[in-house]
Amino acid sequence: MSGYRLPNPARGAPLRFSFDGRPFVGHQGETLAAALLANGERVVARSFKYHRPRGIYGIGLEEPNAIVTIDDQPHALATRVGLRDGLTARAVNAWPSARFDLRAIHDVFGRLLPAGFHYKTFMGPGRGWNLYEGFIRRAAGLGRIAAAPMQWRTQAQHAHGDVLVVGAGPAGIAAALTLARAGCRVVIADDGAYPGGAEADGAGVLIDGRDADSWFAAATAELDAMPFVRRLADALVTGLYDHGFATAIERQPKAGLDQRLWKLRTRAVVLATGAIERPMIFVNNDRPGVMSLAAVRGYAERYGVACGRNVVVFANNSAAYADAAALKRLGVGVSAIVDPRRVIASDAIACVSALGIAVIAAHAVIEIAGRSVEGVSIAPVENLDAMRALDCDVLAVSGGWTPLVHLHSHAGGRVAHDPALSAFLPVADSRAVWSAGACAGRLGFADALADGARVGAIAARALGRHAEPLDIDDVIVRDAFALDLESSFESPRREPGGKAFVDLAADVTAEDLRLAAREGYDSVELMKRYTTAGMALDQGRHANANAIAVLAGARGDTPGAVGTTTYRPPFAPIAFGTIADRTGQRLVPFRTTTLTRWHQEARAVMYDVGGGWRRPGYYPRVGQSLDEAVAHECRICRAKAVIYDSSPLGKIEIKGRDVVTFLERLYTNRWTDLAPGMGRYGMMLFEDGRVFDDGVVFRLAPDHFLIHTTTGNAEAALQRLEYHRQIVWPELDLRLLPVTTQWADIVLCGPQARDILAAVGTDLDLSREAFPFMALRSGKVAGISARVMRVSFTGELSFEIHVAARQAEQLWLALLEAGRAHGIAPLGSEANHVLRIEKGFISVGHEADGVADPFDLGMKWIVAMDKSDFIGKRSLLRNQRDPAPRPQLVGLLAPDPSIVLPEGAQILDAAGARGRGYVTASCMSPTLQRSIALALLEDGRKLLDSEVRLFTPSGETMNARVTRPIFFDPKSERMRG
Amino acid sequence: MSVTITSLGAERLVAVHAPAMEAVPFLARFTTLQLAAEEFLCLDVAAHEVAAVLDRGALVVDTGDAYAGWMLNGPDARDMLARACALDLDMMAIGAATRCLMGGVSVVLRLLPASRFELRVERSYAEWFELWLRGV
Repeated sequence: MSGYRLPNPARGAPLRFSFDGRPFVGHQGETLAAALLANGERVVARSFKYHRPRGIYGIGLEEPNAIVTIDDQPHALATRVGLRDGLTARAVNAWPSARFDLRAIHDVFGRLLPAGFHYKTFMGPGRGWNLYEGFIRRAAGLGRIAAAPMQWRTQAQHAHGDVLVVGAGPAGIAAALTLARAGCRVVIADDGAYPGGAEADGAGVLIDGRDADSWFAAATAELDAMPFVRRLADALVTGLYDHGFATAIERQPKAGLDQRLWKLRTRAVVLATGAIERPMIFVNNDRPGVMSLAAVRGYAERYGVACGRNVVVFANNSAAYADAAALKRLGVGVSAIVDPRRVIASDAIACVSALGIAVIAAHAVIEIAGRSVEGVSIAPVENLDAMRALDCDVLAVSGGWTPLVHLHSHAGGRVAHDPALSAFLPVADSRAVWSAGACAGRLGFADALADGARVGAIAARALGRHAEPLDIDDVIVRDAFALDLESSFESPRREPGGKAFVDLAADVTAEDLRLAAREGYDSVELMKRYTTAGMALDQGRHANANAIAVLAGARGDTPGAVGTTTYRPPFAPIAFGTIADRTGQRLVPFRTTTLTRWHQEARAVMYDVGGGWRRPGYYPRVGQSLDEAVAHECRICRAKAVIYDSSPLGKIEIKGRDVVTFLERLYTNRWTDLAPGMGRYGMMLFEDGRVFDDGVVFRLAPDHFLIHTTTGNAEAALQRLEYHRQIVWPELDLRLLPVTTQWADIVLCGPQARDILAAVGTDLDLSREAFPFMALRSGKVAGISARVMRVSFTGELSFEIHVAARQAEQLWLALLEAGRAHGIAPLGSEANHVLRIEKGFISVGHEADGVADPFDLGMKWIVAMDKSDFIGKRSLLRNQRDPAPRPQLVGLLAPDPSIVLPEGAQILDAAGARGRGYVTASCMSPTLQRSIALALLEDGRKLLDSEVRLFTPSGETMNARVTRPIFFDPKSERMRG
Repeated sequence: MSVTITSLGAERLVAVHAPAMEAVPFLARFTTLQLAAEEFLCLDVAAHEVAAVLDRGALVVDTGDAYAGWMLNGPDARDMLARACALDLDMMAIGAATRCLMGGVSVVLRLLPASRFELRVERSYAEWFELWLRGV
């Protein structure tokens, strides 16, 4: 046993919890780590690679060891898990427990697992990789994801302001007060439950005569009373992005929520993110009982937990002396400070000596014998032969302070090395992002407070506000000693061997870093990737500064010359469930027409298709299969009449003096000769000549057109038109508006379509002469105002009827009623697909596949090459001059008419070695009573009536005969009737 | 959470695309939302009434069937919207309208007095959007 509870009558209610299956008691308000320490639990984890026993090292986010699984949630830090009654915690990376881990044998073979071993081992024999991979996967990683879905309740929320202040320590609160009093909208976020940071944990700080707790309480109350201040507690800012956007994760924001993801947008940011204490480097510095000095003090002050009965401090700076003194005053036994410095400030020595703490100057901790701290071996720095043992059960280390500059770097800020602090500090730049307090190198409480106020005033001025000085006259900090840091210190070794860890979380030793440098991986980026230093869950927060210093030593260089890697969001791991925002109905948007309910009630099989639309695929009658239903619908269409819902087709109205010029440039067609009241099938290309979209364009008036697009491209086509209107040709006079959802679009088609339309009642002259193919007429249909167009996608006589969307069902029912005697039926998209294949009509996404141009598709009739220019014209000319074979649209017939060629089947060359085309669309044709297919085939038009060989997606081969790509009504007499 | 979500039902809406300098003085007689530099949405009016006051070159289209709308009302309406969209609602003037994204879908948002909000989406998204909105 080591840790124990200090006498503290103000403890919270007792709580029961378990760790690795053993029961413990903690108290309300404690973290899991504090409760484990209080119960004397030393071994709480196993290291990543060597499975060495590890204890709790830190008190917050800097903790590198104590990773646990809480109930079903892996990868929680014990130092950040609030205790609750019944909590179940297990160590990760250990089996069966942290105390006894079978994989500790890895440490025995540790010499075979140096840095970069994974690049050198398991290389041969190569065929053994199937065996190696399984073993490595089982051995690697940390926690296990639960098989059952986690009960994870999250929410996302947006917030805005003038300034985001990150951190509610002295610098952060001072900055927030200054800004808020200047009238700025302030969002202040801190990872802790209470403001104050590390420094406010206890006695020793007086601000204008008030203790720190009182001052922070008053400051917080003032901020909370301001309506334009939003204060987020228990909220860790995880990323700072461009344009003042930041994300924060709030833990347990309210009942019923586990986490809330804040999306914060402000005009400026003040970073008061503090600093974390650095470890010291010596052999076996990872043993349970080695802890951060700030953490040991924090456990005593915040939780009344003494981490040990006899604490020895190992520090290379004078600020640690204040912590040692505070610890002693709290009743924790501190026997000595081991300090490698020869010259130490006399006031620091006097302070601790008065409390009975011995100062052992010019000495270092050389190693820890045993599997946990039961004493340390120390020696004069320059005489290792004089090594002796020093009794203790906790070694509290302080190697200096590393400012947390991550958020500053996230949005592109640079850092520079400060030799006095042996740390990288943010470099100010022109962005509205400032750093204040410890993260800017102002480490003392008074300095941080003043710096926060100063930076707050600067930020307020930048936002056009006047800030008054913060009304603080006097700040007294007991035992405020100058840092006097001796740069990142590594203890000398009496003999080679032994592991002196630099990155505890990634199990990377100082020797690993020097090995990397010897092998040529001597840049900080290569060092990181080769050794994995800085790549564990903590992203090297506690380790990076020391790692850079060791690498610098190996290179004979300075840490400033080595530099840092690039810090990227997130600052700490985020659960995917938090980003996913699962409390709301996070459905993928779907779209419906005003006829969708009718389709569903008619038991249509609904498909989710392009653009998010839900469309009827087919309407099976009782007992009908898909093929039977499709065949039935096709036969009805060819023999009688069908109706189908074509509402999702894109529709755009475009008008203006220059509309014809615009369309002539965008489309391959000519539009100048299109008469009002008529339409033309048009095609738009990409700049490289590939088909972008197609659809019928109607001229409503000399300067007014109605454009149709494909369903899936409706949005893209609108954006394309807007882009060219606004950016490319802003001088053209034209305006456009999408009207896709204003109009429902019902298509009545089949040989009896005209009769049915007349029967439903219309004031339009439906004769072929008065209403020719491709004409548009406006009038009444079934008493409803409508635009009616003669277009056809099935090859049958068709009337496409546009009515206001809310009247669609009325018209649909009227057509069904009028067509009942004619045997009318609804048509789904499956049958539509078959009918258009029979006619050889192309479909964007099938034949227009992102490769073919209109000439490839046999559509030279649609391209007015004599126009001066249009988008894609130059590329078409280039394609025509290119001697390489082009994919050309052809038809394919299987020798066995009952076999449907698979869509996607590859057409092979003569040698069977290369694909020279593929099947784009294929079906069983009820009209022809055999299978048919369309394909793109290199030089296909030269191969008519020849045999080709296909390779199918299922691995079979089959033959097919090349034919023309139109199987039904080649002269299109039916649709023009 | 205290928010009432009420459907706006069938509306008379007219979309206009016209140069702002030419259109704004004439559209001011209607309740008009400016959605983009040259794009407007007029409420509770017929297309022919709007066309009558504008230059012949303006594009005026009846869009009464193109939208579905809801009114959000209640003390928590603003907080609910803070979860739904990224707009800085504190900076919006009463009566102002703008387009924003909610759930990945374009929404016309209008701020009314007493922290009431009108939301309109393309009618094809209506069923999904109401599901999504009630789950926020």
